[in-house]
Amino acid sequence: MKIYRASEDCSSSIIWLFGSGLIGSAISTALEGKFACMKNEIGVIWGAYDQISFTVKKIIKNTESLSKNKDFINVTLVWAAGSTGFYSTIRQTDEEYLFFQKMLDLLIIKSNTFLFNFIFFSSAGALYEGKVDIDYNTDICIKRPYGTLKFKQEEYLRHKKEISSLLILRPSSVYGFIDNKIARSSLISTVVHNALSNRLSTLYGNLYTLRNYIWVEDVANFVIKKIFHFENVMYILAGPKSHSIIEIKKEVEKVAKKKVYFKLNSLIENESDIVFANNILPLEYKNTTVSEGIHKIMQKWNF
Amino acid sequence: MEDIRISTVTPVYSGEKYLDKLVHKLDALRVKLIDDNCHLILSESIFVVDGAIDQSLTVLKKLELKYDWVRVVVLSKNYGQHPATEAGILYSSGDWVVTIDEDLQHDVDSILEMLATAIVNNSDIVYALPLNKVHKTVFRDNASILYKKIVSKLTGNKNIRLFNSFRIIRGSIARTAAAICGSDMYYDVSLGWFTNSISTFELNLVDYRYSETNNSGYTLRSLLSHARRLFVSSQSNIIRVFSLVGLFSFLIGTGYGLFIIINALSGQYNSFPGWSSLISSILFFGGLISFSIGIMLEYMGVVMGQVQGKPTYFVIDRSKDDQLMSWSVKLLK
Repeated sequence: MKIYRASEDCSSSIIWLFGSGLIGSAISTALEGKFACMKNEIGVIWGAYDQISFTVKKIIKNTESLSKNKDFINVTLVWAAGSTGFYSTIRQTDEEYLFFQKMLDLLIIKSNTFLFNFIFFSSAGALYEGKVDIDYNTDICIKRPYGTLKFKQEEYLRHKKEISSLLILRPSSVYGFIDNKIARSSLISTVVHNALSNRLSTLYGNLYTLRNYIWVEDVANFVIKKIFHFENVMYILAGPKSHSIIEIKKEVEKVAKKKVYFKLNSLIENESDIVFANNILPLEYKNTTVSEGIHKIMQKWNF
Repeated sequence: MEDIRISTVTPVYSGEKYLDKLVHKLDALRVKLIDDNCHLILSESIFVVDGAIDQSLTVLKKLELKYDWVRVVVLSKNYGQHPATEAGILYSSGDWVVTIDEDLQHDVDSILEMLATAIVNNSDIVYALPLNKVHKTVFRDNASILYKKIVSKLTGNKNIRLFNSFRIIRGSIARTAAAICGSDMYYDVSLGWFTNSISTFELNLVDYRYSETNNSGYTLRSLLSHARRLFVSSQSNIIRVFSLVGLFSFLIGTGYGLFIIINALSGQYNSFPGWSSLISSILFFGGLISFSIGIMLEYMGVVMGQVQGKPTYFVIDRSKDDQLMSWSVKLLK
């Protein structure tokens, strides 16, 4: 996890960022690039329960040393971390939940002079799987352990009295780029990379499965805005247009000028459409189209 | 039971007078489906403003505010009916996609019967088949029919005669065809790459715009462009005819040339000097060139198919149709 001290005036002077995956990295880059924040980095090992207490102490000590106001520290905690995903088993998601709960319980207990604003990354895909025309009135539909995990995490945070404000973000299919980490860079990025290196991409679903993709840097920029103007609310972050995989394939082929080859894997089920209403994005959210996103990925691959 | 969703897509160019009424008709259909509780919903109506030349966009913006199921997509310029329809389809998410014109030519109430026809016949596409002369002008109606017949003959694609802009398409096929369709591709031709299960539904179509204003919304130029697009995107059998004529000419030239040489060697050559060799050379080389061009065009046809995204195969899921079977049979009775 990373600890930042914001250089500009904002609702919180200290930002804790948990997560170094696609979203976590993008938020980190955005924080460092835009606000020239100071940071300390502390390693958190998933599942290492014996180290939680030590890690928490380290986080609090670092925070106190970074904070200008020693009596009362306002912290924005951004949780974009997780060891599980769409295809994880109940055992894996249960373990993640236990670790998440223990880590937060201890953090909150040990930092009794802190005031927490919490930004939690949930998952729209896992909470509305198979639903179409999803908006804020749509009932949740959970079909796999990962959805249960996200729902339990949201409920846990909603009932945590020590958290003064809670912003829940439910992003749909986030895509983007992490340097040299193909496996964690999302479907579109992987397809672009495989096309450029003449490799086969494995598809868990079919060519016409519909999803609303969102560009990770847009998500990160939105989080930065919310850190500085916090809201106690839940947002679904989903692009205004759904895309089928065949549309992505065509777009990647056009931009990369290379053929995209797919291998279909039907052993893992992920075929159902998950489609969001077109006007679901918050007003201040700036959306990058998938076509622009693919161009950006190409640039990052230096092509 | 899961709801089955219908999306409608309407390209808009000069429909300000008709859009309000069209949306009201769609709303009535939407309400009827909700009242009937038949697990069938009109989930969205997408209007694609294709460089409209009138106040259509203003009308649609008002309708979009009034009805949350109305979606407006604005194209940067006028791209034409097919690209606009494809854009709208790519914004859709329904299990079935209905494409419908802006000018009330297509009867919204027929959508359900067209869907029922698709379900009963296990079809992926149902085209409206006009029972009457749509435009009430001999030239316009007959020219369209004649042209489709000619292109159908030349290309060997029997479906061309059925093509109509009022159609209901299975969502997965509609979106995939729209995604792979090139800029100069006729959308219905690319639909034919994905299915042979095509039906028709007979109904009366009336071109109100033409009846009222003597203007169909299409200029001669746009109609010709439409016709060109259809011909170019269909793989033409005529290429094969020219290749065969070339091959035939080449063989005749070769045979005739051999005949002249043998006759000359045996001393029986008695024609006007130079004539036979000239004719046989023309037949030989003309045939060879025509045949070679034919082969190259065949290769180009294969390459074009690949460039335009012609699929090797396509997997389809029609399992949801079963839940509408009894409803469809009842409706069509």
